[in-house]
Amino acid sequence: MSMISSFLLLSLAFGGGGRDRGDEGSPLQPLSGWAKAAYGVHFSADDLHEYLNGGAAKYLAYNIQDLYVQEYERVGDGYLAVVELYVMDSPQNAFGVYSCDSGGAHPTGLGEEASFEGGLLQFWSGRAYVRAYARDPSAGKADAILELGAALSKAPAFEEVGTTQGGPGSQEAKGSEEKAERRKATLPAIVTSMPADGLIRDSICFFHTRVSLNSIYYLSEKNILQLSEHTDAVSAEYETPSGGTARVIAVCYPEVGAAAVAYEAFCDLYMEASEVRKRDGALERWVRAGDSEWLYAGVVGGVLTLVLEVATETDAIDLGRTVSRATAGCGEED
Amino acid sequence: MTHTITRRHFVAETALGTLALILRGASPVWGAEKPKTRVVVVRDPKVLTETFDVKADVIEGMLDLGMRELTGKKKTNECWKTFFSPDDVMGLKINVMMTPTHDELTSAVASRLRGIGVKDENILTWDRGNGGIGVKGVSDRGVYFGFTKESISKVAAERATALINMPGLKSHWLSGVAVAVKNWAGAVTDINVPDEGVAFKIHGDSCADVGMLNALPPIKDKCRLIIVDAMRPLFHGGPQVNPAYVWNYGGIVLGTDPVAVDTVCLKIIQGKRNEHKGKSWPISPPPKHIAAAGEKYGLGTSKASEIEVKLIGEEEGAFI
Repeated sequence: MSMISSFLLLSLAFGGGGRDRGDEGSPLQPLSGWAKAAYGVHFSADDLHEYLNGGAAKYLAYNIQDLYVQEYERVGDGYLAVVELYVMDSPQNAFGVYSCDSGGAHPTGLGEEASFEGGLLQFWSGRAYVRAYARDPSAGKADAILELGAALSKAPAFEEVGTTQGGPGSQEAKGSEEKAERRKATLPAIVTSMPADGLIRDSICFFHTRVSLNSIYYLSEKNILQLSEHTDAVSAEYETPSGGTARVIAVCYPEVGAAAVAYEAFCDLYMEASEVRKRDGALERWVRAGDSEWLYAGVVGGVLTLVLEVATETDAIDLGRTVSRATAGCGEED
Repeated sequence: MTHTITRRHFVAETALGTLALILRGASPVWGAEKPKTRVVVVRDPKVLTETFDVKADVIEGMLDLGMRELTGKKKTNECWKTFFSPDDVMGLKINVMMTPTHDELTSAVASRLRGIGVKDENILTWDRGNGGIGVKGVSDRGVYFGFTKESISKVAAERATALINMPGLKSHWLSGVAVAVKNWAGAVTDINVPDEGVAFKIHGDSCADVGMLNALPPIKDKCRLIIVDAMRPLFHGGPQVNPAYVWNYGGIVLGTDPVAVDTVCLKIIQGKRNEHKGKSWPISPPPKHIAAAGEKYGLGTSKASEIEVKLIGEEEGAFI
């Protein structure tokens, strides 16, 4: 029995929380080529843990509103698949949840962005983050999951939560330039500002809180970066000129002063004072950490930029300053 | 401040027990004179079918091999009598969510207990408040056992005289990994991730104090054996499963020391992660609870020098 299937059986056997929405109110209705099968439940943020246990906290960190789970049966051959529809409070948070787990192939025409790997289809569209997978992962037929995702993304009942007005996947944004503009308008500024040169695909992860950061890249048990639901942050990996890679963490604060506080806390924890190198007159420091790594921290405007696990001093400074310059305006109001 | 540290300090490839010492700035002491605790890993690539089902006869054989290696006894019943008696009321603490304990493994355990004379009605399989009774109850888990007013499972606190800890093997976004030490989170209630108004504050600092549950007398005094279902582990994310990060390890891990078992299991997951990325890919957050379970709660050892690992079966991809 697959571990995903055991989920469903647990919920069925123990009434696993949630309320059977039937045909009332769920965005998951019969789809073209797919009928609703027996299992369908709804969870709110308050009882999400009954479906995901400790994993619920991941979605609560992105202010999830509702989770709808529905089993579907393909018309004609009875192939069974499961759709999990996570309705977030904003397209930015739907993107955030998607961004931290995407990888593999990227089918087009499914929501704003989609990924398909290991039999799991993920995509985001509007406030919706969707996971779809075979009821029995050994059953094969990966194309069936893609069909299901396509049918869902086009379904009228899905539009209420799955539409981003003029978003990248919408009819209004067909050309690549127009799509880029729409993406910039929809996604958090800290994400769209990250330099593209050297960015490793699927490495961008948008988040808010310390708990999310620690699951991506652990810094401290304390909230030294002053993260909260009001901070927009991104973790990304870059290829460096010296041939290695580097981790970048950039945090956009609602107040400029908060960036400086986080900067000092990070430097205090991670940079031996006697070995620090800095630029006079600027909030910018770097230091060799361990045998073959450099750390960089800098503040420009309301953004803290960290560069970690980078092989050379030059790469640390160059990448740090490039990201700082690119993201400096992300906290400013229009 | 203090000293400059990098994430690579958080995960030592071999000496994971030094994690806590490094964080405190102390130097690890090697070569301590102390009897080693044995952890046995049994692997067989044939245990899973092409559709990821478990072959009952293969897992039974693996279990028997593992128990012989763990106990040093030659006969199956003697192995189990090392830990249990016919009069015991057994609690099998499985994991039903995310990376569940396979019924075939639990059935094999129940069968071996019956083989030494444990009564069918005295075999309780459970997770959280629910479970089943007897060999049939391994898969037919419609009984509500409930919790005491101290928020501890009644199976552990009131009914069982002996416990077997049977977790799955997975990475976990809150605690780094979730194996033997963390499996007891399913034996208590009144807990939540913010640790607000709870009976047990276990989630702070990446679940560093989850070992407190193992240290509860009903659990610490009764748990005599750990059997980890490592047939299809999860090596990234978790507890929610992304199948891209599940792989056929085809194994079980046996031991009596939960800290040592978790240390070995951590090494397996870290090894798979490094292989997947083609470079070091440290688990995040670092699984502090493993060393803390040993050092703060006295539940065992995470020091490599104090753990003897025995591998039976497939060596390639064992990561130990």
